Amino acid sequence: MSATGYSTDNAAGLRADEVRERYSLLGLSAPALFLVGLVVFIPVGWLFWLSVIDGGELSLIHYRRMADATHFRIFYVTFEISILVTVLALLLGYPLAYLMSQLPPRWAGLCMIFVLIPFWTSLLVRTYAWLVLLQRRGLINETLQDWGLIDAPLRLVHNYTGTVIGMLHIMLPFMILPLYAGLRSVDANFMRAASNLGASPVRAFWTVFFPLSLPGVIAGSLLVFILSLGFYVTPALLGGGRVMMVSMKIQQNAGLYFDWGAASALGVVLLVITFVIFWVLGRFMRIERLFGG
Amino acid sequence: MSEVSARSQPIRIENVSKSYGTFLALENVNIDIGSGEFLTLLGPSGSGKTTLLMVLAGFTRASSGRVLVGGDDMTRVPPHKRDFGMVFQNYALFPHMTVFGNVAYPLRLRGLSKPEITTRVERALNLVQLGNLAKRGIEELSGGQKQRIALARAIVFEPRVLLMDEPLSALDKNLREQMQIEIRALHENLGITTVYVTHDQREALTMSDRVVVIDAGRISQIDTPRAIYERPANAFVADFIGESSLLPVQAMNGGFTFAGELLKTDHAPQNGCFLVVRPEKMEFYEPGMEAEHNLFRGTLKNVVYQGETLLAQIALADGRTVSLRRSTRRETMARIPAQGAEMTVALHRDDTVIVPERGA
Repeated sequence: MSATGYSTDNAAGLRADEVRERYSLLGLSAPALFLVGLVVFIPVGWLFWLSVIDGGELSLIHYRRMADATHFRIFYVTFEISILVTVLALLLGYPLAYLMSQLPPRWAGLCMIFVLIPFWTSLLVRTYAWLVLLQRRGLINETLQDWGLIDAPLRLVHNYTGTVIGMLHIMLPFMILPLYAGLRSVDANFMRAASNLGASPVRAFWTVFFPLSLPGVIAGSLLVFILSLGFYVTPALLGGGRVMMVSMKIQQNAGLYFDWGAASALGVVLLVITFVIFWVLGRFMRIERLFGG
Repeated sequence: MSEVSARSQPIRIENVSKSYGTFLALENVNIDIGSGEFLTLLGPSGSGKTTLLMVLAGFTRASSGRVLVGGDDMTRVPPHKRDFGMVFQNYALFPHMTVFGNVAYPLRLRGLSKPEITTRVERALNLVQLGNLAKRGIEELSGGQKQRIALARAIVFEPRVLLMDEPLSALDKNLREQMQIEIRALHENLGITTVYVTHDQREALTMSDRVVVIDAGRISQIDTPRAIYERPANAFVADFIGESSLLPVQAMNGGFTFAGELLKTDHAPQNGCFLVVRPEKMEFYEPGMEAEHNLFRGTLKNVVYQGETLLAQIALADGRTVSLRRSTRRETMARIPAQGAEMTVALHRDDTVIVPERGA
């Protein structure tokens, strides 16, 4: 009999088994950890390093250079477009996701295919398709003119409008998928209960369904907003150089001026802002829960 | 008088049918529920009992028929205008509201003043003995507490009737039995017409004024718990409620025989075909019992000890089995013969019930 009051027969062997089990679990995640380290932490670390180096010396010059009206304008436009695209995607996506969540699984599956087909199509193809549709002599302008609805072609592309339309289209599945998952998980009995307690369908939606769907709303919005912040291809093609977002400025600095320091500093600022947004939202709710954790 | 009053109203279910394509979930259901009655819909899963409750609540549209409450035709009234209280199987308490918010919800919808709401919510919470939990979140409640809050929310607005869809199925056995008694007491206190759905026959027998046994969308029997148990209307009810062996009987000269012997019974319908043998109605044979009892001779197959009672299974000459259930008192134990021994058991003529086939 030991001092702890129970027999310690075989205890060492059992403890060794437990430790081995824990290490073997760790071993399973080792390849993923290694890959994340290789493709995320090292490049991000290097990016940060580049942003604080100028001519071989530590310097904050790249950050100081950013504090001007041009850069402010670029960040402003980036955020404005990202917020606009997020809000529009939510307004367009919510009714569809709601419909899908209420349909029987077979029909919901069919709707899901329509959401996913564009998602599986190349980003570049979809962006050029919008160019074809929206340009001066494109399908939309030609049709509207044929019907006599407009006299001169509308400026739909190579500007802010075109950028938002194109980005919205690309981002919609990123909104609908988490939103659908969120709405689907709202138990149908909640709406029944609300109705049974005397709430009209509209009242029941706003007092019960919508608040319960907020995790899905936030997950989808966050995803779209963050993807929009760093979006390059679509705004570059549909903005026609008139709409300058952070990603394009980074490309310009790195590709045109070979100024890796300035490009890195922009990247770091964007990254920090993204983290701050996550952190602020995380204070209100648990992020991992949003993504089905 | 109770502090929370209720308008108790009778319900009439008239010829209600519900079909899904070619599948008939409910077939010409007619039930008259008295004002203040506690009526239980009992049946196996898929029998249509929940469908019937959903038709009552207005969540499922009947294919034909009528539902009347206190003389008003409710058949085509949307659920939010029916003014029925309902307790859901998984409680359906709103997780984004506190306990107070949940119970106040129906009152807010009815536009009551703030002080009125507070008073009424407090009263309802006190009624379910959870007055101290008003500020809690729903996730912080135990299963039993959720159950009570759901009940408080369903009665706080003084509904015309109370509907309950297997409200206790998620609770463990002890809590379930306690809640059965509490719900019954609350019903007595409020006098509200209650329709309760369960697949648990013991629950149905414990709580109800009357039980409706539903089988494949049709009513098998509507009666008091005692009548349902003691005088089942057909083989389905006999088999579904309680333990029983169903022994096939032959009609002969206006009576029925089993294993060649005429059965002494006063409960034999014309179309009877099974003898219902409930183990606890069986008795040990004693000389002289022949006059009023039917006797069953066989060999003791095995004895199952179950704590408060034991079950002795006796194999009859034709290979069928009847059982005898007795409490595990000393004198009972002493009368159980050795396994494989000859044994005779007796069933009193009052307990000898012959029933027609399922659905007849």
